[in-house]
This record gives sequence, C-alpha cells and structure tokens, in this order.
Amino acid sequence: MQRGALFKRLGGVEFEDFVRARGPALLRYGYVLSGNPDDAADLVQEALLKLSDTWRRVRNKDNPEAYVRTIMARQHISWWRRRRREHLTDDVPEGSYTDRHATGELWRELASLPRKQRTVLVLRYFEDLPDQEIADILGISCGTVRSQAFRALQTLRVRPAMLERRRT
Amino acid sequence: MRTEDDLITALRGGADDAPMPDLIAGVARLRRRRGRRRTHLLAAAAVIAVASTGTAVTLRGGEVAPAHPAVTTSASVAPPSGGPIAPAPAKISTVRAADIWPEALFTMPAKNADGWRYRPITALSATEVLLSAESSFERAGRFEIYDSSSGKSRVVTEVPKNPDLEGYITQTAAVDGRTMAWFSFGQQADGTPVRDIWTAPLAGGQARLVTTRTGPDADIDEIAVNGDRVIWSLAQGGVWEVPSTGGTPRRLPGSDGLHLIRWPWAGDVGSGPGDRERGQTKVVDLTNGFVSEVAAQKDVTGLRCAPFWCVGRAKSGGFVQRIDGTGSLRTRKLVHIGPLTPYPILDRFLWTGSSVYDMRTGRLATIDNPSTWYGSGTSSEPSTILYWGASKGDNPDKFRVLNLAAVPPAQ
Repeated sequence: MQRGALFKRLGGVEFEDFVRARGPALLRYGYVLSGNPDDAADLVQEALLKLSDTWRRVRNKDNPEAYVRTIMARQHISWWRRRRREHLTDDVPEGSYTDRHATGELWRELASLPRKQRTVLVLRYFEDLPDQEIADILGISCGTVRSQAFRALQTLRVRPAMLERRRT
Repeated sequence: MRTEDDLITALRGGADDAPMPDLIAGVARLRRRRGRRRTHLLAAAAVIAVASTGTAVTLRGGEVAPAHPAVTTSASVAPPSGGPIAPAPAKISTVRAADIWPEALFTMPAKNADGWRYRPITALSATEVLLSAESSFERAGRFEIYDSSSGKSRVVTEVPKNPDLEGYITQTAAVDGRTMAWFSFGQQADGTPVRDIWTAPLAGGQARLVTTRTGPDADIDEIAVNGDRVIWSLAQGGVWEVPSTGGTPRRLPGSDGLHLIRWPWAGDVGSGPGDRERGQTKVVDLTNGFVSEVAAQKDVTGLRCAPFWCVGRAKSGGFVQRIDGTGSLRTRKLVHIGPLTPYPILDRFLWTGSSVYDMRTGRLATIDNPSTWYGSGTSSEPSTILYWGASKGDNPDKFRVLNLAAVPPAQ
C-alpha cells in the first residue's frame, strides 16, 4: 500500500530527504523527551506531519529542524496534560531511590518528573540551550524555566553546579 | 548528590537506546489516520449506533452461524481453538538471522526498470515479493512481483488513476495467493471522502474496479481478499464484503466494532491513535463466528493477538503470551515492539526493527543492517517482508530482504 502517499504537495523527495537525514537525530531527541520508544516515534511523526504541511514555507524561510524540535517539545508537554491520568502509574520510577550515581538509574528516575520539568531539563542539558531560548520555545517565562529546572534537579538530587554558567 | 554532568551523561546514554522506526511510513500512516478521524467525526451518529455489540458473529436469529458458509480459509495456522499446544519457550536465545534462516534472506533491486522506487507489500511465496513501484514519491504507479530465485520481476498491473477525484492515492493492499485487492483514497470537490476498491489477478492483467464507497462508509482501515470476495473493515469498526466481480456490498451481521487483522480473523481494536494502549479482548473467526476471548494481564498494554500468539507492552519491556494467557514472557530484549507492526506476523514473529523474535522457538534473530533505516511491507495484514538498505546511507540501490514466509516451520 502507499500508506497515505501524501507528500505530493510538499516538494516530495526533498521532504523525504530531510526525514531520512535527520530522522535518527529527531528520534534520539524524542526518546530523551519521552523516555518511551513508542512515544518517541509518535512525537517525531506528529511533528513531521505538521512540518510536511508547511514544508515549502519552512524549507525556504526557517530552519526545519529547529521548527520540528520546537513542535516536539511543546507537543510533549501538551500530551502530558491530555494523558495525565493514563500515565501516572507508568511514571513511577522502577525500584527505590538510592544514592548511587549510576546514569542508568538517573535515566529511569527522569520518568518520575512531570513532563514540563523533564522537557526543560532536556532542552537545557541535552540540547544545551540557554534558559531564554527554552522560555521562547515553550512559551513560558524565563523565571518559570528556572523554577521548573530547580524542582526537577531537586527531585533527581542533582546539584545545580553549572546553573549560573548556563543562565543568560 | 549527583552533578549536572551525570545528568548530561544519563540523557546522552538514554538517547542511544532511541527507536529507529521507518519515519516516512509512520508519517504517511499518521496522515491517513488523520483523514480517517475527520471522517469519524462526521460519522459520529453512525458510530454511536454501532457501539453496542455482542461477542459472536451472529445472524439475525441470534444463532452463531458462519458469515461465509462457502469460503475456504487461506490461513496457514491453526485457529485458536484447535491443535496441540507446544510448550512455550522459557527464555530468549539470541542468534543471527543469516545463520538460522539463510534461505529467507536475499538482496533485490530498490528500483524497477524505469527507475521507480520499489516499496515491498508482502511475500506471495518463499521467493516472490509483491511490490509497489512508485512513479513519483509515494505514488504507486505499478504493482510488480520480484522473484528472488530468478532475480527478475514482472508486472502485475498498472495502478489506475481517477482524474475526477482530488488527491487520488493508492492505499493498503491485500493478497490471497491468486488475487490482489487494494483501495484507493480520494475526495470529491466538496471534500467528501471516496474509496475505490480494486482487484487484479496476480498472474497479471487489468485492474478491476469492484466498488466505490463514499462518506462514512469510506473510512476503510483494513482490507482482505479471499477467493471470490473482497472484505474490509472500517476505522469505526464493522466488517463489509463484496463479490470480487462487483455487486452490492454487505455488512457482515454481528461484526460491530470489529477490525480485520488477517483473513479470516478480526479483533476489537483499531489502529487509530486512541487505540494504541488499548488491549484486544477477543479474536473472531469470521468464517464461523467463533470468538476467542483474550486472557489479558493487568499491567500489559496494547495487547495484539493474531490469532493465537499475542504481543504487548509491559513496564519492563516487551510482553508475549498465548491468547489463553499461557506462555507469557516479559523481556527488555523486545522493548522496541513498535507501531510499525503491532500484530504478530504469521502468528509467530515479532519485528523490533533490529531483530525478529520467533515466539514459537524463543529465538531472537538479529539482522545485519548497514543502512540507516529499516521497513516492513505495507500490506493490510501483518506483512511477511522486512527490509532495509543493502548498503550504507539512506538511498541504496538494493534492498536486503527477510522473507518470513520462507522461514521453515518451527520444530
């Protein structure tokens, strides 16, 4: 089948080229945002669907990847609002808190954060963005970015040593 | 206390486990579902009307009776009710697909003689693959069959166009060994959705328009062909059939809420975005109305049975069981069971994108994929074709193909 062969209005192959070239990186980003392989794929695909609708405009004027990443970050938070009840049980970290520094454990504990807090951390520490840019992407104030990050770091018992350096 | 560097390391390390599904196919599928959902809303009243359902396929008198008294099933596995039950594998052993199934692996061209890109649909035999050749991006222009034993391909049929409709696109195809059926998507000038259902002989020949569905009845999600009938289900549930020669489509009595999985089996979950977490609760054999209830475990989501083995997601990763709840297995090795192929393939295999799990033997067969992507065939029923680039990069000249229809029966 040609499942939804629908890129016909989009400059066709160029969009496919973009997806093939940047798909793996976007999936990594989606996975870090969501912590779940299915949600990661959904996030990327939803964002790419939106991108495909505006491909010509975005391709010519903006950075398509930044556009997709912004959609993904926002989408991830809004999904959290919508799916809050279903996801509550899944979001309890496995195992008990211990004081070990294993990064695998830290990865699992990230699942205990509300999505907004997690998204802020991902934008700050995975995407390496300054707080002002994070605020612009998420449509929140810089103060909110800092307070969300502060609470998240507190939950994860991460000492915010680099916080000052990262602030802009 | 941990440091921010620990956090950065954890995030980057986590990213290394990211799934790598076929995004092009995923986005296209999502777009198709969006189209469905719009139709779904338009048809809200009809959906409410079909919401109450019994558990068996029944005729008007209420007796359980065959929906298709005369059809022969093309299924190759025993129905859920029959056959001896082999012991379930207790643990997973990891092997290379190339070592255990060499006869099922082959390399084929990624483009046809005209330079059109191939998109595999499903296997027709141990050596033949049904393909869609795309005259332009994602637009099926021709159906072809590639035979790995001869290394040659032949044309099944040219894909008809319909100039009266906007956005005319060929959608899901199905086969029964002799015939292929597919539906095409389009819309009238006023936005009314239209689906044309077509068949063509696999031996080669002209496509035949079987029926056209419009409005709420056009919201087709899956299709099958079986001898002299074409069968399909709707996104809102409900199974229909029409003679391959044309005629008046008929809704199968008692099929409310059902979706085709693989003829003759149907289940009670669709493939829409809202259905992903929901577990299937029954498998219905449409030839005789026999209903098998799924014995599900509470912490498992998205359970899909087709028809005897089931796969789902547990907190600890992937989950496998038989429909009766026996043979259950939870494992992180199957954590990437994904939206590409939610149902078991041939009631036996799971495709994780990097490996194939054989539920009957407990073997996890890894593939050697030098490319940056992988895909699975696009047929309505779970496709037996898995493929990826034969060389590095995104746009190879050749596909490497694993034909699960060529894997020998489990011992």
